Amino acid sequence: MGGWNIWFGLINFAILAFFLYKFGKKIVINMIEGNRQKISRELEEAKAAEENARNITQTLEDMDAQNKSQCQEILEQAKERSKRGAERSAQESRALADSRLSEARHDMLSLKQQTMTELRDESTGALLEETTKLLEGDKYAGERSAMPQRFVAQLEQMLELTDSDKAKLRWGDELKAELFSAQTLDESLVEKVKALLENKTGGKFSLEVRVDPELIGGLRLKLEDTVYDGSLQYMIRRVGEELKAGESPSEDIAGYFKDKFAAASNEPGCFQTGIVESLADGICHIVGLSDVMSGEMISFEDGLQGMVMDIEKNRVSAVLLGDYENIHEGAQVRRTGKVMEVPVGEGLIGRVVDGMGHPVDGRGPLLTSETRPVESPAPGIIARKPVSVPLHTGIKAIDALVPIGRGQRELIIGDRKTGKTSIAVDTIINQKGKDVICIYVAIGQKESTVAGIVAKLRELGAMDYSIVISAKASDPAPMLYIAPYTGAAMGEYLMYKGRHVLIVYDDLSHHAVAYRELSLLLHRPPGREAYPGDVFYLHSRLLERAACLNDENGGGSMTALPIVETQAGDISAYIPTNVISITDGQIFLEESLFNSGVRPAINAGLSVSRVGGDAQPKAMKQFASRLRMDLAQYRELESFSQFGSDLDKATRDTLNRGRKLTELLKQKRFDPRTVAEEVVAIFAANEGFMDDLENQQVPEFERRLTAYAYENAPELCAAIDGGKKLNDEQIQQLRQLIENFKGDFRP
Amino acid sequence: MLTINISELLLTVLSFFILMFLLNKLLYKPVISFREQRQKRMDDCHEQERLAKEKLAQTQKELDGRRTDSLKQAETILAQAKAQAQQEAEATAKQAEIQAEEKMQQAEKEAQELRRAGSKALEEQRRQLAADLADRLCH
Repeated sequence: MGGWNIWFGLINFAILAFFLYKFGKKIVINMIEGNRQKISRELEEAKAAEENARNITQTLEDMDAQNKSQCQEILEQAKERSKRGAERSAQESRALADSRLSEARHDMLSLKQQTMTELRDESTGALLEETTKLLEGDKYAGERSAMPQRFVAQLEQMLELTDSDKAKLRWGDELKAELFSAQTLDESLVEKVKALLENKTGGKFSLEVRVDPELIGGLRLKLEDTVYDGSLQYMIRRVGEELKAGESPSEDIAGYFKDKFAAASNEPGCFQTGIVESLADGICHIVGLSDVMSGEMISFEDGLQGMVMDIEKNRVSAVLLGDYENIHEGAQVRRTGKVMEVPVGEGLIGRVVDGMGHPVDGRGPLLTSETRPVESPAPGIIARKPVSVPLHTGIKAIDALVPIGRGQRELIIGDRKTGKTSIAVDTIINQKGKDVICIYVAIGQKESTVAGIVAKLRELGAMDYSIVISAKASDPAPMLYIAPYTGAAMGEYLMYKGRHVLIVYDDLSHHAVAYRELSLLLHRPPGREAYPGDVFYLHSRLLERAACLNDENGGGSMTALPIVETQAGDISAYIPTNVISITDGQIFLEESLFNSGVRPAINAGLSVSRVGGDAQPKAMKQFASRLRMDLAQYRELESFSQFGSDLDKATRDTLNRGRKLTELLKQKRFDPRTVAEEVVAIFAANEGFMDDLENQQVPEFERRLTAYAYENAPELCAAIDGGKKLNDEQIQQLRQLIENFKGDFRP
Repeated sequence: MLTINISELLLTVLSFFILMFLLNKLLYKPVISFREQRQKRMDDCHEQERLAKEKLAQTQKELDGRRTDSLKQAETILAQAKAQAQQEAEATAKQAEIQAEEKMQQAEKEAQELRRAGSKALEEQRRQLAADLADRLCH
C-alpha cells in the first residue's frame, strides 16, 4: 500500500508538472520578461535622472559663471556708454557754447557796425546840410557861376538821344526840352544848348528855360524823360545816396567821410524819370520812363523801390516793394538801369531777411557786399549732371519710399495741418554737419509761425547753416511774389560756388495767389481759377533753377522742396497739377492718415520720387523695395479684409507685417535718423523680427535695436552710413545682431 | 479505501513549514532586500533629479534677479551719467550765456563809446568835411 502511494504521488506530481510546464511556462516567461523590462526601464530612467541631475549641477555652475560675466558686462557697458555719452554731451555742450560765443561775437560786430551805420546816417544829413549852406554862401559864388559853362561843355559829350526819343522823331513829333538853372542864364549859354539840341534832333525840339534856386548851382537839362543833371542839388543828393548804400563805416568815421567825400563825383548825372499817374494796392502806373526795361528796378524820391512789370505804349506799371504811404500822384520816379538784385553770399547764413534781402532779425547789417539778380536763367543741359548723391532727410518713410537726391525738386503736397512744414523743417535739421546750406522761404506765413520755426532752428543749431526769407502774410503781394526768387538767387550764388543747397518754398500756393492778385491789379486777363496765363511759367522758371551742376561748373547743387497746399485733398486743382508736372516727384500727405496718428502722414501710394531712386544709399535700396511691396500688399488687403473676418494665415501675416511697418514708419518731429538706423530698422521689419511684437512695442524695439547696432557693430553701421552695399556676410552679421538683440529684448 | 493518515499529514505539514522557513530564510529575504535596495537607488536618482531641477529653477530665478539688478544698476548708472552730463551741459551753456552777455554788455559800452567819440570827431571836423565836399563838388 505504502509503495503504491509513493508511485501514485510521483505520477500525480509528474502529471501536475507536465501540465504546469505545458500551460504555465509561457505565462511565467512573459511575466518574468515583462518584469525584467520594467525593471530595466526603471533602471535606465533612474540612470538618466542621475545623469540629468549631474548635468544640471554642471549647468548651474556654468550658468552662474555666465550670469556673473553677463552682469559684469552689462555694468561695464553701462559705464562705457555713460562715459561715451558724457563725452558726447560735453562735446555737444562745448559746441553749443562755442556757437553761442561765436553768435555773441557776431552780434558784437553787428552792434558796432549798426552803431556806426546809424551814426553815419544821422551825420550824413547834418554834413550835407552844412555843405549846402556853404555852397549857397558867397564863398562859392565864383564856382557856382562857372558851373553852367562847365556843364554845357560836358553836355556836348553826354547828350545822346534815347531809342524812345529817336522813335518820336521818326513819327515826326517834337522833343520837349527844359533847361533849369539856379540863376538867370547868359543868352550865349542858352544858345549853345540850343545848338547842341539842334544838332541832335535836327531842329525838331522846343526848349524852355527856367530858374530854380533849389539847384544851388549848375544846370539841369530835361529832354523828354531823360535828365542830364549837373546841379549841385543833384550832386549833394547823390553823395547822400551813395553813402547810405555803401558799406558800414569803420571806427574812424571822420576818416570815412573824408575818404568818401574825396572820392565823390562832380560829374553830371544822366537818368530817365517818370511821373506817378496812379497808385493802388501796391501797383503804380507811371507816365514816362520811356526806355525802361521789364523787371528793372525804379526808385522813388523817398527811397522806395519798385519793379517794372508791364510796359505799355504810354505808361509803365510797376509793383512797389515796401510801404508806399508817402508816394503820391505826380511823384517823380527814376530808372536805376538795373534789374532787381538782392544781397547774396555766406554772410547771409544764420540771418532772417525779407523778400528784398533786408535783414529783419535785428542783428545788424548783413556781412556781405555781393548781390545777384533775383531773376536769372536756369542752368542749361550742358552744365547739369544727373542726380546721383542722396539728400538724406532723416525721415524713415521718405528715405525709404520717396528718396530725394541733391539737385532734385520734390514737391510736398497736402491739405492744411498735415505736417508739410514739419517735413521741410526736419529735413533742414538733418543737414547738420553735412555741408548743405539750407534756405527756408516763408511765403505768406504768419509772423508767429516763422518766428517759431526760426527759434526751433536756432535751438537745434540749424541756423548755423540756414537762411530764412520771410515774406509775411501782412506784406504786400509784390513782396510775396518776389520772395522765392530772392531765395533762388541766394541759393544759386552758393550753388555756382560749388556748395550744396537745400531750398524750401513754403508755400507756392500763397505765391500763386499773390501773383494772381498782382496780375489782376495789372489788368492782365484772368484764366482758369482767375490765375493769369503765365502762372505755369511763374513756377517752372523758379523750380528749373534747382539743379545738380557738373564738375566743370563747380559740382554744386540746389535741391528744391516746394510746398503746395491742397483743398480737401484735391491734387487735380490747377496749381497742384502744374507744380506736380514741373517737379521730379511728390510727397503726398493725407489728412485721414494724420488724424489716425500716422505721422508723417505720407500716402505711400500717391507719393513718388522720379529721380531719387538713383541717389538712394545702396544699403537702403537693397531693403526698401521689399518694404514698398509689403506696404502695397497691406494696403490692398486692409480694405479687403474689412469685408470678412475669416482670413487665411497668409493674409493675416501680411496684415500683421503691414501694421508693424506702418508703426515703424511713424516718426516724431525733430528726431532725424541716420541711414544706418533706418536700414537696420527696416531690415529687422522685413525679416519678420517685429512680427510677434505688439504694435505699441515697435518704437521701443526700434530705438533700442538701433542703439544696440551702433554699440555692437559700429563698422557695419559705418559701412551703411557710408552708402556701401551690404554683402552676404554683412547681411548675415546684421541678421545675427538682430537675433542676439531680440533674445535679450524685454519690452 | 482512501483514508487520512494523520502521521503523514503532520509530516507533510511539517515539511511544508520547514520548506517555507528555508525558502523565506534563503530565497525571499535576499530577493526582497535586493529589490528594496534597487528601488531605493532608483528613488534616490529621481529625488536627486527633482532636487537638481528645483535648484535649477531657483538658481534661474536668482540669476534673473541678479541680471535684473544689474540692468537696474546699469540704468541707474546711465541715468546718473545723463543727469550729470545734463547738469554739466547746462553749466557750460549758462557759463557761455554769461560770457556772451558780458561780451554784449562790453560791446554795448564800446559801441556807445565809439558813438560818442565819432560824434565828437565829426562835430570837431564837421565844418572842414563840409568844406572838403563843397570844394570837391565845385571843382
